[in-house]
Amino acid sequence: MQLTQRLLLASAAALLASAQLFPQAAPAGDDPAKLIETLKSPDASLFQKAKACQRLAVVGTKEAVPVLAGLLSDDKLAHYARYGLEPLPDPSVDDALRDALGKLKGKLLAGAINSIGVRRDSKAVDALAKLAADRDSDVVGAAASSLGKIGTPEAAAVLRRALADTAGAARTVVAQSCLVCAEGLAARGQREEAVALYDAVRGAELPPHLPAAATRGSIVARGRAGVPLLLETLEEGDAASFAVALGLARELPGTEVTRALVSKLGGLPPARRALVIGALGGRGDPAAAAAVLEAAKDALAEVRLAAIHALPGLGDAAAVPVLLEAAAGGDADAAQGAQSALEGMRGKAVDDAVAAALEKAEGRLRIVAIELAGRRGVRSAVPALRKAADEADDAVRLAAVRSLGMTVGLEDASFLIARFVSPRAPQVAAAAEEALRAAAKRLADKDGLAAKLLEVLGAAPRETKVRVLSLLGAVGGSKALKAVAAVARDADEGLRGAATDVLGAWSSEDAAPELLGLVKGSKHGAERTRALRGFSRVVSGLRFPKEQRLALCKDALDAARDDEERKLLLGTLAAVPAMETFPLLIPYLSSASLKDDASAAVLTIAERIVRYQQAAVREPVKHALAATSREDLVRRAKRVLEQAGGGQ
Amino acid sequence: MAHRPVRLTRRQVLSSASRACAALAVPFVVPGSILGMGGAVAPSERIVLGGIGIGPRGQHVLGDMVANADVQFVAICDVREERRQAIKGMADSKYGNVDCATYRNFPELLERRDIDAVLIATGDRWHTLLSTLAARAGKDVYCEKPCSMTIAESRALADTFRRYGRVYQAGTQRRNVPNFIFAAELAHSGKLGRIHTVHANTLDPPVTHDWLPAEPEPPKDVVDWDMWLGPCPWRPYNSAYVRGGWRGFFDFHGGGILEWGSHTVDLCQWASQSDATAPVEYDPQKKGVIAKYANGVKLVMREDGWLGLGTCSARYEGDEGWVEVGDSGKVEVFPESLRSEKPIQSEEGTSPRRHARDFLSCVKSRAQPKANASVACQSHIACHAAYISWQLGRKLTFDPSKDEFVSDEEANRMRSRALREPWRV
Repeated sequence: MQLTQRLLLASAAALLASAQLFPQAAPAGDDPAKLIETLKSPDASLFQKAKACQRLAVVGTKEAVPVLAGLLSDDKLAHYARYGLEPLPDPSVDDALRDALGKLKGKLLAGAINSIGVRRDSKAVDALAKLAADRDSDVVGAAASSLGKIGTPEAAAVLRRALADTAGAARTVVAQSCLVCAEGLAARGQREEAVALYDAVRGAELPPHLPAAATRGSIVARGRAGVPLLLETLEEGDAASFAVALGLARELPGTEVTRALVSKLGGLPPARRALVIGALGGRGDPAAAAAVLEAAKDALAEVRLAAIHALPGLGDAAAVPVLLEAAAGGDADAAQGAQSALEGMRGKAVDDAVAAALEKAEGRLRIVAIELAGRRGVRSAVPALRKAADEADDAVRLAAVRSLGMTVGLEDASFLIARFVSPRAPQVAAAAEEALRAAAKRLADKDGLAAKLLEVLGAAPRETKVRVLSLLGAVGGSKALKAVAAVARDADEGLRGAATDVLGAWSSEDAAPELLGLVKGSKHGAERTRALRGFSRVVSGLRFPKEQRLALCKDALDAARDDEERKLLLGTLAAVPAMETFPLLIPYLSSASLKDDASAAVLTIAERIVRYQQAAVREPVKHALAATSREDLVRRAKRVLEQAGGGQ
Repeated sequence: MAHRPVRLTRRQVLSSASRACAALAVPFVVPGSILGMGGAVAPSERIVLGGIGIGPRGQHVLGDMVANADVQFVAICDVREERRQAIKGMADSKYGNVDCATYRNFPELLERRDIDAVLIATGDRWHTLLSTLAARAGKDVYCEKPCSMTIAESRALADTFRRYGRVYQAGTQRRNVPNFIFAAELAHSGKLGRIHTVHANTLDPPVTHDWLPAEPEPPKDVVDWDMWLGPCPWRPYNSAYVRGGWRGFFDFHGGGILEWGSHTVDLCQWASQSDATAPVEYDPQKKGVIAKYANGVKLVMREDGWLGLGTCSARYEGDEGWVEVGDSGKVEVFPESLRSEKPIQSEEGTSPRRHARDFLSCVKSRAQPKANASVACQSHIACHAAYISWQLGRKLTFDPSKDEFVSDEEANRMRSRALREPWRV
């Protein structure tokens, strides 16, 4: 749901505050006798009567039936009467609805017929049979539909006759009803009657989707004997029937169905063969694996491609070499499909097949296998990837380093760190850095990875140290934080700055106190500003408890040395949208140099919470409005006050 | 030899769907030349699409539909003139012609033989009715949620789409949003241990039974009020309903549990591998319902107490860990090591881009999309049953095999609502 919908719901919720709701009280109450009285009362309004009918749907007894039935001819209340009658279980409802058939016309008659259908009143078949030949199309449609829902052999006989006797739109609705009726017959075990009805629809002149649906029903109702009809339809059916049969080919259970479909593949035209291969993939039955694997080598591109897409569904590791060949091949569509398929296939057997292929493959195939091992995260491929990472071929080497980032465990992280710190070529360092960042996201033991990076930090040249600091930032965790915070107090100004920037981009809130400590302890103006900006980024950018964020900001404000720093912190507070933020901002509204910044922060928060905290925002916003004279802020304040219902 | 009819049970249909989904979990990249997405597509290969009732959300979905090169949008139907013209303007501008047809009455659109599929984004009251009418007219359907107003409509929806062999995708797009997929697959993987509780973010349940004051009815060409009401009980016209203010009125809206539960209960059904069933017990709370499946898994429908990962959050708890996701695209997991199971892509939960593509691909392959009619039916039944329990203010027992409450006639009488004549499903 989009935000606008949420807002609409919020308005609806406000409307509901005074509304009458179940179960407390429906507008008409819960006493059936009183509800009936309301219906009989000449003084009751249309609304009251409507609500009484709706409530009777839930609590009404047979005493309500004649009163509700009496409203079936009332233009305004007929539907409400049916609303009350339809779910009422007493059999007198059926008698009343049947009685009404001779008294109603047009839409009201159609409505009564529809209710008979919902209640599946088999005693109404004769009456409905006559109405199915009515002149009014609404009535014909309703009668046919209700006969379908009743679904007895008698109803089926009426519908079969109507199918032959009607034409155009009327026949269409009769055919639709035949499908419902046949389904009911089959569900009750009257299979032959069901098949006969389906076949009647298949043989009638109708829009093609209706015989198609009947074919579907006929196949299902026939059971195993329906499989030949499925195969015939896949081969010879029109487009509509083929589409429906294709769907069924995915759904019908059983290996014998799979085998039958496989046996049919060779006889199908290529476009249909491709789609049936897709269906075989969707069935997920390994019985089709060999045939689909064979199809993946077909001379026809569309068949080959369909097979490549179908193979992952069959989960056969034997497909891996074939897919790898396709992934490394010159056909772009097939290569893309095969790569996707290889990434998506599950299971250790597939992983092992990829690792094995990596060992043996050469050329382009080797690179595809290396990349795939990475994307699948194949841990068993790490030894082979390590070997490949030191090969002479640049493409192989770089691909292997990158894939290691997605596969290594902590025990192999040093391998990547070594290639990051002392690379044979500059591009290896970049690939190793990328790999280590990927590994940092994956590996749960952040302190373990940080410890390995720290092993090289001390002895590394200055430029490398800066890059290691950045990596430590990507790793996160307490060990990395402590180390970076220590470097932020290093004697080297450049390292201090780099470490402070890393802390400012930290991904968890525990960097905020470290940065605040740097602010307080900093002697240099530029460094202090750098730390303060980092502090602001962490506090405003990360989601952690507002109490903690506010306490940090208060501490920082107390430590601020000038208005520029206070302005930065007021902006930081604007990112904590809570009532509790206002008391920190209000004092600055009386400062000549800070009142606009404080007002802006008050308004930013108020705009975000006014929908839920109307009363709470009024006073702070009024203070802000009184404090500022900046036109844009005044406009915003007035708008918020309007939303808060507080006037100006 | 006598053969028994093949009984395609819900579970079989769904397991076929879930196999398709598993296959789709494989990044199902079909080349542009076959399935659009920017590739050149011959007109004969395009899916011809029509739209019914396209408001703001519908426009978002439609935008993602027509971004696929294998889609040609040709017709809009709406009871509101301004909406008809707005969508026509958008389509004509995209295609550089004036060909998009406009209709006030949907049967005219559904009768068009050239239209393969329809996007339905009307108000909730029309969703089941229009979807089933479209299926009966031989169309595939992408329909915004909630998909139904009652338990009976939910079942009719699934039955109709199965009967006609049509493709249906409910607008519960989170089934195709990466972080939600990650969470569900984590639950399925067993790495959270045995799943014992799933939590669905829902809204405050109540709605009103009131009517707004009558206003003069506009001309039918401007707003066709009778058609706007459709299958719902008649009430006097008020422009607020038409402007989107229909939410919160019982006759038009299924309440706060269904509003978001159609997304989040659906996600929980998926995560707990309950797509073929619904909970069997419902225990109403102040602002939600606690339900239980037959296998003992608890489904908590609640408004508050989330980690703040965005709207429509869901949380799955097992013996050995938990995962929580929301519309922000973020994921929280415990233990943290589970995060490394697979790279997590971040995408806002409201984006229908992948969901629309899933639908379009299935229109061609005749596979079942992730939020197909059977899946949507069951998750909507769970929401409706919960809301019935909440309205009655008592615990209910439900038999999902019969769509029936056990020994509670009042509850059973709330499973359906009579439709206004001449409409029926």
